[in-house]
Amino acid sequence: MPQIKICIVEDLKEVRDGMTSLLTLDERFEVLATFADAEKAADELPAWQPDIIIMDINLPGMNGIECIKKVKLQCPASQFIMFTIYEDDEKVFEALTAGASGYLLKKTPLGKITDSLLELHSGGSPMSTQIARKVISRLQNDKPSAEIKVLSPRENEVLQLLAKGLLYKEIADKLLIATDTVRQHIHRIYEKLHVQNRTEAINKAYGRN
Amino acid sequence: MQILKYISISAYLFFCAISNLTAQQYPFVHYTPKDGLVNSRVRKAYQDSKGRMYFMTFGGLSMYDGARFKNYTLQNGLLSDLVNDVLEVGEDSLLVAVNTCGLNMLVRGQLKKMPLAANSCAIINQFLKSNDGTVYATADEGLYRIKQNRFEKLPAFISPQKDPAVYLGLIAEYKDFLIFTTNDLRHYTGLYLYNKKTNAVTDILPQLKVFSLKCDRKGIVWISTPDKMMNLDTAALAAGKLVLIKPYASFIQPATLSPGNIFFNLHNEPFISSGSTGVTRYMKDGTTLHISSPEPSDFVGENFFIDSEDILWICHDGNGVYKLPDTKLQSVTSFFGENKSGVKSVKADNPDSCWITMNNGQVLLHTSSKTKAFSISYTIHTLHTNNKQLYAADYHKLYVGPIPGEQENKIRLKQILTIPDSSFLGGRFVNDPYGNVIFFEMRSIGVLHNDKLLFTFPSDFYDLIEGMYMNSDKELCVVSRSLGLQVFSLHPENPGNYLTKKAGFVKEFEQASPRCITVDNNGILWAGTRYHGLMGFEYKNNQLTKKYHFQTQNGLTDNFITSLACDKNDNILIGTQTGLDRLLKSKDNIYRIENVTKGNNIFSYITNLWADADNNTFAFTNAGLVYKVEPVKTTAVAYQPQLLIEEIKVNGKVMPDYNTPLQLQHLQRNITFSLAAPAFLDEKQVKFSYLLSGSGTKEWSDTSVVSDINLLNLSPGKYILQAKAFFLSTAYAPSQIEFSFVILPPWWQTWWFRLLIGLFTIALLVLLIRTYYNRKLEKQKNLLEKQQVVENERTRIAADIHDDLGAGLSTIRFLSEKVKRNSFSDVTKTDAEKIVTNSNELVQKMNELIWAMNEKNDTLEDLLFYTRSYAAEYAEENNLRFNMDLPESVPEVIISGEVRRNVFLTVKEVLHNIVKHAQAKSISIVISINKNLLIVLKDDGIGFAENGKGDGNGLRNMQKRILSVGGSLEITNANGVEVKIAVPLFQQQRV
Repeated sequence: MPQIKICIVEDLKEVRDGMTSLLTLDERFEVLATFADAEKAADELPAWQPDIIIMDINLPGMNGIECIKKVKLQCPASQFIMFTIYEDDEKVFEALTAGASGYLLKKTPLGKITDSLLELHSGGSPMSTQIARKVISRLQNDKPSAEIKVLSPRENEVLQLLAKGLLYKEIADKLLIATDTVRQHIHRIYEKLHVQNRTEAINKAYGRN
Repeated sequence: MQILKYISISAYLFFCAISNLTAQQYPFVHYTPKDGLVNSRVRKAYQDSKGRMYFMTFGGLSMYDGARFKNYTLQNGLLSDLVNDVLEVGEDSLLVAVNTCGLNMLVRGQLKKMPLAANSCAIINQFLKSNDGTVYATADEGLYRIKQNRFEKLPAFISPQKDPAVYLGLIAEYKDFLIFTTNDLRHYTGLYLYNKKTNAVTDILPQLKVFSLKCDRKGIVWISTPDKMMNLDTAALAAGKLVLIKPYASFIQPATLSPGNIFFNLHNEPFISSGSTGVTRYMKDGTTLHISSPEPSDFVGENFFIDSEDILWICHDGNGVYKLPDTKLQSVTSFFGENKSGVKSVKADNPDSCWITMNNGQVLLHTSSKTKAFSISYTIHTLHTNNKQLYAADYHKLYVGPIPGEQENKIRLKQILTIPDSSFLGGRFVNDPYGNVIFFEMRSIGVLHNDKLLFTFPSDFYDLIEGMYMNSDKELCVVSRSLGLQVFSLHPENPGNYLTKKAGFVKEFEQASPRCITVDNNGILWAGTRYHGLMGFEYKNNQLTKKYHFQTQNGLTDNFITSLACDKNDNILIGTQTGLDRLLKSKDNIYRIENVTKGNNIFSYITNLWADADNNTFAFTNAGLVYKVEPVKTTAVAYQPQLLIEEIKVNGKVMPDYNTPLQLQHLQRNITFSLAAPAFLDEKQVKFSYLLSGSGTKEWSDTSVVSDINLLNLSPGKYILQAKAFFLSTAYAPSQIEFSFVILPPWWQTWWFRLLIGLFTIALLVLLIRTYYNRKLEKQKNLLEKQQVVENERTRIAADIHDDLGAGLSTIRFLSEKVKRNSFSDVTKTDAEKIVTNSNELVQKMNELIWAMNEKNDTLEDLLFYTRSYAAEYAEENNLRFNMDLPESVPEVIISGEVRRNVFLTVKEVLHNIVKHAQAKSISIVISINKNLLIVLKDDGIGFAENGKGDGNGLRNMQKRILSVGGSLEITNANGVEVKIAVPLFQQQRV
């Protein structure tokens, strides 16, 4: 299994170093580069084309969300995961709508960080149901109901439960499926609804070229 | 003109004595300063186109409009008291020449000084308005033309050396020529002809004395010279020559009398004054009419004037003005011939003859052609004839005798009846159709057959018979004071019953008490009454119908009628106790009253009237005077008087000038209009009436001689004053005028002011409302801004805590991880682990705090999902089964940060206590929402220990939290613990 190539954008040196050392110790990951600010990251990230970019939100100067917006086109294969202290943050939500695939909490135990990264790499969207519910309901509000039809029945079920605020585990319990499956459903829902966005589609097409 | 008091002219005035004309005297109306005339030395008269008369005197100018004299003297701005001439140059605008340098103007009754060019100084003696409208003037300084306020001296030279003609007087015009004379300062010597076109004197008669120079209505120039009246030859005039010829109207000649002034009336008949005797009118039919001078002793006949009503005005240097309205009335002094004894009685019921018994016993018989005097042997007071005999009576005796023959001058009588205690015997005689004579005395009506008394009919002793006549049905009609009209049929076949009373009419006379009668040619019985004027009755089919009634209000001079007569044309002569009227019958049977004597200021008791065969009427007065009234003339003067507003006074002040409609201010509310309707036949009989529309009145005022209309205390508004003038006693139609005026409302009552006030009020209201709302908005804005500031500050603090503390804690955490990883001491590892845990908890708590502080999470939904999320994770972490029931829909309710925090923390505390103490396997939370938010947390643990081990604090804390937000917390034990948290929702909506 090839290593998951990672870039980190984090202004706090201790946190950046801590993450780097954590990931360096793990063979599954390769830290290609770290950046202390978004400007530099925006310049250099396209050259690295990492699999995952761990992006802090609060950065001096340009913030992480804007950085995503800038870089996403040039790194079409890269997945962005936000690195934040608080999950209940409007900015997390903003970042997700800007194209981030999930987020990591800085308080997360180190072991779980790698889990989340792996989950992301395998097609999940690491985020709490609280946030997922918000994202989904926002997406539902933004899109005409017709477009919800692109979702499969199962995805719709997941969506209903998610909208009720249930945890992944609860949803898994209710639907008698694995929690990971729930996560993948949610990622797909998220992606499907995202893809309906014209800009996103164009961006993707552009990126392929 | 300096007057050399007619020294030269008077010499010529002595010739005139035509004695037969002095027998008649026309009654003039005399105006003196007592009547309002400015001065009694009157020089000239003039009439403007509106009919006003102007009298130029030695002491000022008088205007007379019939209602009032208006006088102009030095005091009112007349430049000199001696007025030489007046000329109308425009509507209500006259030039006034005074005997000094300068000119006055009279504009709308206001005297002004005419502004003249500096070198324009001349003493104007006479104006002439040329046919082309140019005004010429003769002056002491020469001949002038007046053009646009400038005197232009004309080159009237009388010698090759260019000596100018000076001291000019009279002026006349013939086509392109002016003819003028010198004035008294040159002894009226010299007649000049001036060509207007060539501006040159073309002929002079230097020695000719001229006293009068006038154009007649055909344009012929008339000149009175010392010895005769002459015309200027028109052919010669056209050639620029002065040639005197005999007047074209040959009846003027032989002009043996010395002519004075000349004037032409409307019919172009010359009136020529002739010395002291008066004025002679040369009528169209070739006859002359002499009008004796009103002041025979020293008549100064230089100036007289005939106005547009054919009224003769004589200006007297000393006695004022004399007016002769017409010549229909004259006093006749020769009626009784030489007999001066006075009239005893008159018997005049026959046009052909009038018997007059004189006081000396003589009897005069008047026919239209002659007068004959008779001597008589008895004293009688009345005479009567039928075709056979003559009857006479005194009060007690009745006589009969033969009618005297042509040559006889004695009346022979024999007495046939004596009634000693009677009276009124023979007051009236009537010839009946059977040759009998009917008479009355106080007790009876008697019938005489020749000299025998045939029949008597007793009458009321107290009644007085005032008239008897035979009607067309051969019935005797008797009119008496008390019994009115009694009609008798005549029965000659039965002399014993000769008179039979057929009908009697009393009430028809309305107790007016008849005093005299006459019967016109249509059989109308006219009864003159004591009290109610003249009544006209028709007796037909045994019915008496009153058809006419005239009283003073209809113009009659007096309601006491003393004598009546009817002329051949059915005009009724009405003698009253104060004068003579005439009821004129027009072709279409409409009657009009003419005051015959009143207009001439004659007020006499008319005792008898005689309408003679020539239609002249003679009126006998109780003073023995006789007035002759000429027959009614059919040719009426084409004059219609105009009603004029002579002056308008507002609040007592004369308006000198005004526009129509007159605009007055609200305080100008007392207005006097002075009216006049110049008509001088009898201006005292001009009456006025008015109606002011706009005042609410719809009725005309009572007709009155008062010519001033006083309107007092008028309210603001639009008015139209309509006024009428009535010309009683004349044939003039009423004249009417309208005058509009406006009294403006005071400014605070005008519509624009009201509008302005309205707009102002609205604007003020709008302004107030706007200010109020602006202030309110401002307050709200300030409040919001304050809140915003607080909010921003809170958000800023939250952000700072979030970012800085969060970052710091993260750093601490990662550093601790590093320490833990790199440390070989277990103690250090444990401590580092604690640091990690604590910093994570801190982050968690801060997260909660910030969540509560963040205004974006302020809905109930946020609270519930946040709580759910926390509880679910917390339960999972602690391996508890978890179930939470949320309502299908969560209402949109705003929950304040304080409530959010307290509720969340309370739930968290409960969950914490469950995990810590309850030994439970599952937790369920049920949320229900009505008025309150109700959260029921239930576990399946060991239950709540009342005796708790120091956990009372935690419980109290929870209670306190919930109470602080107005809610309640209840804990019960029932197969575990059940905690009910209730928080009122809607009180939370604080603004």
